[in-house]
Amino acid sequence: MALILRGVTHRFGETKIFEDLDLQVEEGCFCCIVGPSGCGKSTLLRIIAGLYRPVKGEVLLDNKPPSLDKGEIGFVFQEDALFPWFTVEENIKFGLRARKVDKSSWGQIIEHNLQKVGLADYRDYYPSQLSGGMKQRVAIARVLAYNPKLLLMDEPFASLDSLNRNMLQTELIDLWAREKKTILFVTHNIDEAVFLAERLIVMGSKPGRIKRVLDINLPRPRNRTDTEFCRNRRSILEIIES
Amino acid sequence: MGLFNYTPAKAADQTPRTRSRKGTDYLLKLLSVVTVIAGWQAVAGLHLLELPTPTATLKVFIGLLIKGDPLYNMTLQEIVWSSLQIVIKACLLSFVIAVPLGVLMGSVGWLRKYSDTVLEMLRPIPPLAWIPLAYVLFANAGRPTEYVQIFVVFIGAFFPVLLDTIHGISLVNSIHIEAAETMGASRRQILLQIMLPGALPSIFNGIRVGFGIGWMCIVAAEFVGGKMGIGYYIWSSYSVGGRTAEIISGMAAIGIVGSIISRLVVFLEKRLIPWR
Ligand SMILES: Nc1ncnc2c1ncn2[C@@H]1O[C@H](COP(=O)(O)OP(=O)(O)OP(=O)(O)O)[C@@H](O)[C@H]1O
Ligand SMILES: [Mg+2]
Repeated sequence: MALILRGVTHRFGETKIFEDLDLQVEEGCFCCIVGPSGCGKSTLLRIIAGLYRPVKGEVLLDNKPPSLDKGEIGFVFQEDALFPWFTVEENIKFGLRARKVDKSSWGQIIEHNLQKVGLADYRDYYPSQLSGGMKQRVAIARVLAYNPKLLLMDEPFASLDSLNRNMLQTELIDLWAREKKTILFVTHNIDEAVFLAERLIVMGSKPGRIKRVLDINLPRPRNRTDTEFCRNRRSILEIIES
Repeated sequence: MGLFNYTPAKAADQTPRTRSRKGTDYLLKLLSVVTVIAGWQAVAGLHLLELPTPTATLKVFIGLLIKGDPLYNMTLQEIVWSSLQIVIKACLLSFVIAVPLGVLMGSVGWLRKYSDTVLEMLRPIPPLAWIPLAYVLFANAGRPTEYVQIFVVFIGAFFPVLLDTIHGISLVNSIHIEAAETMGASRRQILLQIMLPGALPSIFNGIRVGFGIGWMCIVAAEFVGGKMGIGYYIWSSYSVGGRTAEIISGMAAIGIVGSIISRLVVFLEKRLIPWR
């Protein structure tokens, strides 16, 4: 799903968050966003999702403004967004019901997606019985289950240990390669960005703006210890710190 | 040795301490009851006040439970039950109205503003102050006393439930609503599956308080009118004179029933909110 932002300006009260922001993301692109804390990454994702309406400018998803009721978007939030009153299974069902997915296929979809994130045995657990990392996996499974075309992921792996993080990164890349979804992925972790992204958006703050857009042309599968990988990481760090 | 031996040792070290703390808690609870009864015994025994002794009262209380009161031809349970029936009817009615109204007022901005002024005017009026007007309003009804009592208990239970429901809705985490919205959930789905369960703990608090106030209101309403119920029983026992033990027995029954109701709601809450 192609995404275009034109002249997007946003304020919270008097505070300017964005001024005249332009961005284009082609269909099927894996796009990472990095930037200092508070520069407006989460706000940008919410505007794209249609949760916030920008003060000025327009957002186009496949040439149409974003609309919430179509549920074309899968949003994985930075905060814990699982519904605590539903079990793991019921959390996934909520999305399927909202998307009006045919009920006869629910069982299989839930099984399949929980397996994808390695939590098939936790169907009947409440979120309060899961660790932070497990919750985030369920949040991802909940979104994947209704098969959105555009994935907005706000630091989804930030609370995971590095082993789990690396594993889920690989799985996400596999998923993306298989299903060619458009993905916008916010992260604080340069390593993660270089490992995942085809395109990297470096944001700056005050007001939030796009400092640089880079293509990362490393072949896949990528190797974190590769000299090319490290060279890319170093140059990106220089750009961010400049 | 090392790590694996350390953990159980620490656990074993803690268990007796918490257990003995529980023991002291229990002892303190018992002691507070003993203090009250001993004080009562002293006051009654020394004739400082015209009170029956605790043992004499207990005898009357048990007699009322088993044989009943000859003046009224009813056991204490039957008397309490007739009040309780009214409280249950009135409270259920008030919850059925206050919870949906609270959910709507909490989630629809203009409705909240529209009804806020009127509710803020009505809320400070004590439920008992409605009694005279209620008698006027229900004068031509079939059983005016019962209607008045239901009405007064209804008013008493209504506001805590309404306010706690509104409060509960305002506490619903906005991230949950946003998550539901991005999944394409309908307004109805958000209201019933996100707002309502999110507000449920607060709603239950309102129901517990509402029942408590309703139970107080029925006693007062029965003082004023009617020929039935626990309020009528202790008031008329006073009018007859010389029946202090019966009065205290009635008061004890009110206290016991009140605390049972409150525990029942808490029990129900634990069953209905398993995710906490
Ligand atoms: N609902 C809101 N109301 C008012 N101000 C807000 C709101 N949400 C965010 N802000 C402000 O907007 C700015 C950008 O916030 P945002 O959460 O988008 O940053 P971020 O880049 O995601 O930061 P982080 O990396 O820490 O998650 C911050 O200065 C924040 O204080
Ligand atoms: Mg953020």
